[in-house]
Amino acid sequence: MKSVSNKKILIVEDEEESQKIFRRMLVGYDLSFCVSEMTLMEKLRESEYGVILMDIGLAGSKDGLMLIRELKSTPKYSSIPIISVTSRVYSKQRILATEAGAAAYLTKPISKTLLIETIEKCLIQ
Amino acid sequence: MIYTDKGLLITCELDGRINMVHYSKFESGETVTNGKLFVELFNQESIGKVLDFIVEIKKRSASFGWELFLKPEFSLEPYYFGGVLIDDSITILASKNKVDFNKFLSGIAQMNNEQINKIRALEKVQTGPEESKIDKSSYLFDEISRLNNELVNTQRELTKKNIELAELNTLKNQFLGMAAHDLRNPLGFIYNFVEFIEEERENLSQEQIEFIGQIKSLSKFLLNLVTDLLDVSSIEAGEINLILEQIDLIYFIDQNVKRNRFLAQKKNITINFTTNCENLMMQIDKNKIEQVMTNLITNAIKFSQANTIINVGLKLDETNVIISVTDQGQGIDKEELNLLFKPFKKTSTKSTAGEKSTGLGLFIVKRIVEAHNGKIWAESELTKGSTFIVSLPIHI
Repeated sequence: MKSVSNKKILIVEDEEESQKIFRRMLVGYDLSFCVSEMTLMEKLRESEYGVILMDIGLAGSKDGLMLIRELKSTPKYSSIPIISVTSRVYSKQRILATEAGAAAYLTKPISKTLLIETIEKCLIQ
Repeated sequence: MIYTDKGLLITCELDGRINMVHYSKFESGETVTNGKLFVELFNQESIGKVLDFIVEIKKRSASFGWELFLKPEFSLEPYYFGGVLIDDSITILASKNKVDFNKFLSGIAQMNNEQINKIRALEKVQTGPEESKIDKSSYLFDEISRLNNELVNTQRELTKKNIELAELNTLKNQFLGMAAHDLRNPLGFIYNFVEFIEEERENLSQEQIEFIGQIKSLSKFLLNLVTDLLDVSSIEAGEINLILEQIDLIYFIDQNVKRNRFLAQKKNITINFTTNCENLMMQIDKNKIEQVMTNLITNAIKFSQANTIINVGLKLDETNVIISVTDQGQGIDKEELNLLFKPFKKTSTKSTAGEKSTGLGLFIVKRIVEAHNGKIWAESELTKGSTFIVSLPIHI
């Protein structure tokens, strides 16, 4: 049995609409939100997470791809599975996200079924 | 100034009949008259050379410096002949000798008509038989250099235009990509939010459920259109990157058919999948091949009447796997088959339940199949249905 704390999901997403959509789709999950690198590190220090949802198209100095690379090269966080989320449909983005170390790749608009399926897969691992 | 020297200036039709005598003066006092054939002015033994002269004029538009003997009734001495082809007539000039020929030309300059000017212009570059080899080649050399210069300039011009066009095309693709991306994001949100309202259908009136359904299907269509545009712009920018994975193609297509059956049920269309393979491991980009299969099957559903059958088949030949999607739909006009795989082109075949098309699906499908080193084509007959065939190499 996984501990409840492992079921926590950290969502890195700066778009308000997307946050609302995740909140609605993931009712029943313990969610935590952050919008940038700064708040991400804060959240990671505060708690343990079973999975991270990372928006690739974050505004600001570091985009989602850079953050994935950073987390994957930090031993403390490298084992947390990351699901990359993007509104870009180019397969190049998929390749880059996978290369950076993302466990899965989702394209917006998010399908609720696929989102939950993907999260569950990551949580089991 | 009136020209009084001996000479001849006539115009003939292409068959050699003289239709105009501009000037005619010989030692004998005899003159040339209209209606005669040009060759009739010559001795029997000169006729071969005269005919050569005419042929040369016709072939090269002009020829000069021919020494020919007229009939004795005109003169016992040879005359120098030159001729030029202007429109549909031959103008011929003759004088006692070469020096006289030029004098004669300037002498009759008072006639100052277009034909004379053309004769003079051509006389500079044309020569008679005895000098023709050297002068012909120098004339040809000049002519080829001139044409070559023209070609070089045209080529330079074309290269410049090509660069400009390529730049414009890149800009167009960038713009298309940006516009589509900026449209796609909010459209995705609208779609998601509408889904949430739909989940609460027990709190909605029948009419509201219907409206929500409309918003959902319209935003889905727009989303597909914009996604197709993005696909096209990334394909055009050469960004069709395959993510190859080893998968069982039989299981994969079976799953895809199952998913599409749900859509087909609405029109009571049956989808069969038949193959003589149990499994077939292949390296493919599964998202992209999924897009291909879904496109072909949804097209078949779109253009088929209710209560019909769609057959999906898979077979192997020595090196390829051949996947076919056959419907019992309306078929496609033979003349329109080549439009199918071109962007934004739609055939006159209409969907049977008002389903919308972007006109981009098959173009994208073709590019995906080609990126897998495969081929796609369609076979169809009006009213008898269509078959779309994808052939993929087993080892990419």
